[in-house]
Amino acid sequence: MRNDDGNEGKADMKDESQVNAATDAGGSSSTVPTMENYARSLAHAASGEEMTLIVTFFLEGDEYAFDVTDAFEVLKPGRLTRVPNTPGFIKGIISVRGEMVPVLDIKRRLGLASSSTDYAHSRVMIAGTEDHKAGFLVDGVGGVKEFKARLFRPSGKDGGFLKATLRTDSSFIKVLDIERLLDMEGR
Amino acid sequence: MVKNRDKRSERFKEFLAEAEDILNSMARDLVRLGKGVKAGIIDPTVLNNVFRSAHTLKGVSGIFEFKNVSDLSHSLEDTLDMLRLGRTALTDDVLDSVMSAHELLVKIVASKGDGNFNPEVSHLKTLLARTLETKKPAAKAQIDKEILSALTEYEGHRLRENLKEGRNILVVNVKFPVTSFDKSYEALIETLKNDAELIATLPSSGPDPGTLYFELLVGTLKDSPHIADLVKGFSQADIRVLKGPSAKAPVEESRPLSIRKTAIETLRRDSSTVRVDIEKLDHIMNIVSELGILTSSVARLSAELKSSASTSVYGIELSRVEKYLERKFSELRDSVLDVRMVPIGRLFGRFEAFIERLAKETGKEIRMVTNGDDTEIDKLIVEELADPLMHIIRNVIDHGIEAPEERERFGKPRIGAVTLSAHQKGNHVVVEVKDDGRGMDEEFIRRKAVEKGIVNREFIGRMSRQEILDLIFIPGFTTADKVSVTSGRGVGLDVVKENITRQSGIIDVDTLKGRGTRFILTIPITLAIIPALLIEAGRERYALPLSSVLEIIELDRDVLGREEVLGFVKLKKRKIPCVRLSEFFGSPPSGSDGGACYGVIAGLASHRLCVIVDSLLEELDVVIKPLPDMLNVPGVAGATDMGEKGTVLVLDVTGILEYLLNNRKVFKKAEPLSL
Repeated sequence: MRNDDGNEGKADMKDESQVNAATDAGGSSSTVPTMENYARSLAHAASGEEMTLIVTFFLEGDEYAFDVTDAFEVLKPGRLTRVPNTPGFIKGIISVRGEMVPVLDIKRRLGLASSSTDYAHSRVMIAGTEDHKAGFLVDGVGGVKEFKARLFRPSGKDGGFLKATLRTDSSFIKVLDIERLLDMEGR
Repeated sequence: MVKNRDKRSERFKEFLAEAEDILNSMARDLVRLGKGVKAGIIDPTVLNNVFRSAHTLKGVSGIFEFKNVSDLSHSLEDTLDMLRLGRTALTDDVLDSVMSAHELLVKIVASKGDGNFNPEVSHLKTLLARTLETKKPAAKAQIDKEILSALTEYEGHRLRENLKEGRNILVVNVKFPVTSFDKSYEALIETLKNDAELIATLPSSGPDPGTLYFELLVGTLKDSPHIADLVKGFSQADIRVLKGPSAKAPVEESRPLSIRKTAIETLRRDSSTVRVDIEKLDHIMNIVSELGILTSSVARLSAELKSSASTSVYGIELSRVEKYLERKFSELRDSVLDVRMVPIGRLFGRFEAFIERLAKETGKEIRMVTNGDDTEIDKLIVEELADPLMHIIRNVIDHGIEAPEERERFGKPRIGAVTLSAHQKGNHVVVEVKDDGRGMDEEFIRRKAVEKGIVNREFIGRMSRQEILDLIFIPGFTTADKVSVTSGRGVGLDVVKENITRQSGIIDVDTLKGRGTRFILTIPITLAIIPALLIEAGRERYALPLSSVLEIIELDRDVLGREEVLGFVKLKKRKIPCVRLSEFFGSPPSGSDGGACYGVIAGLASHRLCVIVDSLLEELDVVIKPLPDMLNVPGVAGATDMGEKGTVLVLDVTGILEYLLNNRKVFKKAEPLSL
């Protein structure tokens, strides 16, 4: 949304290489909207194999994901407006086309140590439901990826913020539970 | 990546709005019906309207499988049908069931389909079904069977009712040219309305194919020459007396009336209004405010161009265009705001049935008086006002208005009056709920407050009268010694105050023992666009809505002292507690020592607070956007997007005052404030 033309190109390159790596791995494919991919997804549908789409992102070098239906868009962090007297993991608000959306430091929410407090190279991933959404500060975005549904290992009731995990030959992705992340009662 | 919006939920919202409208108009008619029953005159038009409302509601709720509503409105429709056909007598009991059914429908619709109403619905359905059993003997028909057979059951019933009341029954033969039929017909009906009831319109026949012939069956207390005189203006209107004091028997040549009446219907509606979802208006408002940002950018550009010698010609030209743009822009903004405005009378009207019912429940006699119904206020605020007003009215009826006998003993009229009035005052609307009841007893409030431990004994002696009265808004304070059916538990005036404060409003109370009480609500006309002041405190910028500010004073930083969070400032001989905004918000310190800073005075009832800020930057109009729930913190009303200037929080200084009051930080050590 906002223009901050810095050295963003580099980060994007990195993201892309990871997308490609994931594509090479068995069972996954990056879904760039090409005719080829469209044909492939049709083929999947025809074969009856259930597929799941996720949007992945990076936190401290690890790959995480939301269900594709939980994510809305990715923005560059512009100026965040601080809201006083809120929990520390709430970094402020941004206006997304006039709608005020809270921005959360997802690392702090997950209890991960943060190596930097510089958000200039971060991205804000807007996720949640139409009425209840938030922006999450992430280190980089992996992209939309498609995997066979049976590869996901649900983490059960006491998984905390973790909804499922996915292990392939080349990657280990943690799928997060957006509802629990946004549930402030349980903080 | 917008998710599939549930189309059904959009339509469901429309349905809820429509259902609300239907129920509102039903409420109005029920009140009129209730008055009619008391007076012994039942207006068939009103009864018909109620029936039609129930019918429509059944229809629309059926579409949405809103089972409770469709079931209940169906039963209601059945009962009303029997009533309007005269098969059932409209007794007090029946009216009660009808009113309770209406009330439950309102409740179910308000719940938006959540909540379980099944037991209540089935209870009322039984009640309504019972009303069907009380049959009313039909008046013996004294009219030609031939005519009767052409009438619908309802028309037949109206005919019998007219006969019962000893009216003349006339058949008016009319014809209209096909081309101007609908207008002439409506004009004729309008003419007849005052002197006669149109029982039925029966199609007839005549020689000219370009002409429509009708027989109007009319019941009237007037004689036939009088009616003939009325309809003279309409082409060929000859009259025959079917039944009247003069003519006992049905008259001679009666043309066979075998054709069933065809309903004269039109799909055209008279009203030319459009119902719009307030969200759509909000969207337009957003665009308007973005336009406002663009307009000011243009102004800045033209100023820049003007200042440079080489471009000043263009600058002058541009600034002329910009002036025009700005004028048009404010016109646009004002008209968008205007669309949101509704007369407050509509809200007042909703309380008529409510007051009537409460009066009945408490065994009191109460009439509602309204003033300033035309005063316009933002639709959203009207909705937010509904609950607080309802609680105040409950309170007034419960505790304020005395029982009729008691009133007579005091030489007051038996019937108590609850007056709802409104008038505009600048950017605010003042809404007043006034009663002529027993008023509040200051001593009683003092005693109660001490008893409940709200204020300690020695302190209360030093409190002013206004401060004592304000105690009724404190949570946990309720003057009723026992919980009543009407006011119920829990919902006290503290909730009312909270609601009003949330609307950036102020509530005040005034009372005279034995004479009555006034609740005065001062509410901003609109929250959509508000004039605000951009301020800076602790290196952060905030928008301060001017409506919530009583006064802004200049202060000397050195005098205030730097360390203390809370101190006092003196204003007009009054000591006002003050708080630094940056401290309250935990912002980084401003860095600037000494020099001037500003005190923003906020008020809540008789309390005052001075909020200290570093600088005042500029005045501007802002659109407040609510913050998501997780960010609801005291002192912040929302945020506003100022385009290239970024997003800033909108302050709620009254909220800060309220927070401090509730946490008793300032006011414990503060000496009592005197006005």
